Amino acid sequence: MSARAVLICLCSLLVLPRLGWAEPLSIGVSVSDLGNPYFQRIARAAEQEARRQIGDEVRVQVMSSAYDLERQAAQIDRFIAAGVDLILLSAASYDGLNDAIARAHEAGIYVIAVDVQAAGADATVTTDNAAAGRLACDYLVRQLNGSGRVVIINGPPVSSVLERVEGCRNRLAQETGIELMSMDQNGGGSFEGGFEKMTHLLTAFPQIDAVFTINDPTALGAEQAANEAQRHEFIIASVDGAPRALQRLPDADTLLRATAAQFPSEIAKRAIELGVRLIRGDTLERELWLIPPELITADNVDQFGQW
Amino acid sequence: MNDASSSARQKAASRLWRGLRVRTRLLIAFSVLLGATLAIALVGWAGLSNTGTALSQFEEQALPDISRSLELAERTANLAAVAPYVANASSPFLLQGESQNLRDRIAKVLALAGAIPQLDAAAPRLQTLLLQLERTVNDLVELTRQRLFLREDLRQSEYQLGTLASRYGEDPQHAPVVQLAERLMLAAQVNNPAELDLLQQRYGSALALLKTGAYDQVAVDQLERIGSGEGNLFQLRMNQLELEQRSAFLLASTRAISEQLSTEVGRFVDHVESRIEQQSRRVGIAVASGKSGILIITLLGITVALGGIWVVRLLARDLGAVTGLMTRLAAGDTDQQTPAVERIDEIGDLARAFQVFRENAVEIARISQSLREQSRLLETVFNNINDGLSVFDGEGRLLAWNPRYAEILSLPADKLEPGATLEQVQELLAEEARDSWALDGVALDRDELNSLRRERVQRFERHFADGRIVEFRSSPLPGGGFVTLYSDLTERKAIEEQLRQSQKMEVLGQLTGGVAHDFNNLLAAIIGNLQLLETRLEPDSKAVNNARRALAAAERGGGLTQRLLAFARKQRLQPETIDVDRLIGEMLDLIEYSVGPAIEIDLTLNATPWLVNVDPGQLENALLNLAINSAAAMPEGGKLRFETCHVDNAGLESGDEAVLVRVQDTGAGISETHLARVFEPFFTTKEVGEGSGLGLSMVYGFVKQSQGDIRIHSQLGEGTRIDILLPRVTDLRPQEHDQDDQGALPSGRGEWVLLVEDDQPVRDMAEDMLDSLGYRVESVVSIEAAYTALTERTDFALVFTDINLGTAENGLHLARDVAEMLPGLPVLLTSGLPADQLSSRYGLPVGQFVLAKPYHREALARAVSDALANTENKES
Repeated sequence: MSARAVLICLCSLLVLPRLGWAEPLSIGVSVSDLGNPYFQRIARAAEQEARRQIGDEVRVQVMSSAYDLERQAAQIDRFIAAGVDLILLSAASYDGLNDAIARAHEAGIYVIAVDVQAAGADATVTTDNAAAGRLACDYLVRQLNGSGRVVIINGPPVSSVLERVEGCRNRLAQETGIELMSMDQNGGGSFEGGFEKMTHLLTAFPQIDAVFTINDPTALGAEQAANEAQRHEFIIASVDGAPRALQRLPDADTLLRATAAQFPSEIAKRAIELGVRLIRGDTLERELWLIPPELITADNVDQFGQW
Repeated sequence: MNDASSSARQKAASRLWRGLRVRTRLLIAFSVLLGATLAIALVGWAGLSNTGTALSQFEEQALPDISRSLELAERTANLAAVAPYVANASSPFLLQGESQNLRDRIAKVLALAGAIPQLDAAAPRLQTLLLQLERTVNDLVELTRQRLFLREDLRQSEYQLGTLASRYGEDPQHAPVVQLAERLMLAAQVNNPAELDLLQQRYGSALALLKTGAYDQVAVDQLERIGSGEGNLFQLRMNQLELEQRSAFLLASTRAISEQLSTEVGRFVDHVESRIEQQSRRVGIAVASGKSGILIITLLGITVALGGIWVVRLLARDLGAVTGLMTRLAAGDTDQQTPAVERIDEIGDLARAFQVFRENAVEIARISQSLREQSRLLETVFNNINDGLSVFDGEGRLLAWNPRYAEILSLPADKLEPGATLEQVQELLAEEARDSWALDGVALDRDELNSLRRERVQRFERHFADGRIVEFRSSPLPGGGFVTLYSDLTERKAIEEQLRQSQKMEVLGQLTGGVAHDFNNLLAAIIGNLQLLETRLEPDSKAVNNARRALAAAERGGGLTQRLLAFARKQRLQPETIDVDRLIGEMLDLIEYSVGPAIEIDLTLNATPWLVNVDPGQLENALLNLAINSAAAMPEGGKLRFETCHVDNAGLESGDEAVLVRVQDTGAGISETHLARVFEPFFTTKEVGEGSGLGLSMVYGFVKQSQGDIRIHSQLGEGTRIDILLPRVTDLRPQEHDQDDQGALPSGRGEWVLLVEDDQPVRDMAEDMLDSLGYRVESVVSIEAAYTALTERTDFALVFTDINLGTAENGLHLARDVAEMLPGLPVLLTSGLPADQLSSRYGLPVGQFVLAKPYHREALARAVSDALANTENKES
């Protein structure tokens, strides 16, 4: 943490008393998977932004749902019991947590959905997933000069994944030379899932020109499978901009050539900002806040820092 | 014994079979065939049904079993494969998917197992194993879930530690805090429980140290909460390790259960396989039995069909035989044996019916043949009888007639047609033939006659312009109408005339014969006495001349009687077998002398080598007579032709083969009216005194007496031709003429001769002749006197007797008695009758020599001498 950050925190502390909070604000963050650096980044960025805006006295509880609705609902209930003021919720399912969110609202708690939408949330901050899918697949189309066989390794049926795939397909559909051979393999958004499903696809298709994966762990698993199978005839584009992916991009033998980077810090910051505004009694001009992605390739990877 | 009874049974069966009607037999054959066909159909149907059932059973049971068992095997194998995925699920989300997947699979296998009813029997542990697997998998899922949550909890702790470390990382005062946080983070990665224990102890001491130090209380509290609070990091990690161990166990369990499941499924598959095999074997057996059943029944059917063919062939053969018979019968062959009559079936019926039919046909044919013959006969008679015949019906209309009818009545045949009335027919008759005459010459009324003809028999005549007389004999018919026979009497009347003529000739012959006979006896006496007188008178005296003239006249009278006898066929002939050609050749100079130089004689003689048996002298005489007649018919000269040849169809009583002697002249000819009478004696065309009128009648008599025939053809101005037919004799050689001895007369030496003669002049003349010849004579007038003389005296050398002695006993009787009583005493017979009359009237033996009266002295001398000599020869 830099001095600047500390300074920001101090500034926040100066502002907060003006809000007249008797007790220090408490924020609950429930993400899907703390094993994923992306969510770690969201959690950490949210904590930092909260300290910056509200002050060091702000309490931030970070929990991971492991994509389990029950567990997440229990976590929300624990947030309610702990008397938090704001919940950043990376929901395991779009409408699986209605009751829990309703209970939170009853308790006067604002719920901001991050990364994925959640029914009943006061606002949603998420990457423009359709744009991310479009960016990645635009890259693939350009690399293939508009013709080739493409497979998509899909993920869990959450809005972000659905939108990415849709964005990708919309871009692919603009090219008559592109043949989409498979798009229903669900890699679960994980390295292992990517590995398994890619193995499956490699077995099923002798010739593949390009692969789109819904996130970087999947892409890395797919690349690992290709390496194991000694198949290097295709390129991979993904969505995330995860550190390991960025490390991989400059490598000479990489199959992963591009990733449409999300900006978890931006998401977290915006979520905290919106939450603070809600707490202050502001009315938000819109519920959905999209953070534009950026395509990262070996050419521009230097310009992007870690999340 | 067995063989005998079985063969008896066979015979009985065969008899029973033959006894069946054809219909029954064919019905039996067809029934058996039908039965066999039905049986084949049934067996085939049943077999196909069985096969179909087996197949559908196979489809219903075995195939699903196979597919289920295969699916079961696959799914159970998959279960074990999926389990590690569950155990290794990296995220709860994946776990949810995989565990759901695994549960689905187990549920499916369970459902599958439940759907296989035989499964319990074949793989009794399968259900249990599946349930056990489900339990294990559920455990595993739950465990993994707990593990994941633990991991996530650990991550939360790590995140807090990370946050703590980063907050105090650059604060040297809080280095122990950071150190402890890092130590805790390390503990979250430790895999060894012992090491974890060690780390926990160190953490405890470190935390206690921290509490005493001046550190941020918040951080210490956080560290204490993370490291030793409820759900502390060590506990979480320990739990995690335990769960991992437990997870490995569960995985191993699922593998073991899965393997057992595979074994069970394999057993079930084996069971299914063996069941399918059994089923297939059963189906195979059923098919084989069905096949053999069909084969047996087919063979039976073929046998029956062959039997049927054989029966039909036999039937067809018998039918064919009967048909052939019928065909041959239709062709007219009635003499054939009917086959299969003894059969008692339809063929037999047919054969018997055919036999009856044939008998009827034969009978009908016979009747029709006889009718045809009768009809032909009647028709022939109708058409060919010499009489005309007509039939008119009750209304007087012409029904039928024969050709002769029109011919006899000179009716125009083309104008006669059936239905013409009697009046119309009579209109067609010639004018003069319309009048009817009764047989006695009275004219009859035509209309009355026409009506009478329908009621009773009518006979009448009609006369035609050409002289023909036609007799009508009309008889009424039972159904009305009448039938009439028309006889042309012209010819019959002519024949009657001829008959009368021949009767006249016969009467004439008998008359002249009788007269000539008596006259002959008279002449014999006269001639004999004149000859005796001549010897006693003075030579060259007037008396001698007178006697000689009387003798000549008497001899001419004798010649006359000879010719009369010849006509009467009563002359004594001495037939010989001769060659006619030779005879004519030898008498040629005599003929030439007789006819004179103006007549040219032509001979065409072709009779040789055929021979005839006639009296050659009489034949010469006849031919000479004919030549002289011809010469008389040719006063201006002409040609006289003698011709002989063979005739094969003479129509004589003695046969058809004859020699024809033809004498033909170119003279004046004889008119038709005279021609019928030329053979009558004393008929002559010459002036009175120029001819005797006996020439041709003598020839006629001679030829007839020689069993020949004579015919005369003559045309006025063209000449006369006379044909003499003489019967041919085959066996005999022609006899050479014995030249009469011209030497001195043999004379007796006083031998006694018994003379038997009833006619006194002849007796006296004979006495004198024998006396003059040197014999002594005792004369008697009767047989009785002859017997007396023969008994009184024994010195007779000869008996000389007339045959006809005017009594019942004749000369032949005498001769026979003498031959019996006095053998060696010769008997010389004499008679004025010819030999044939003697043999027919008196039974004269053939070859018996008879001295013909009247006899000359020379003939008597030779006959007596010969008789005596024969006796001497016999005696010597």
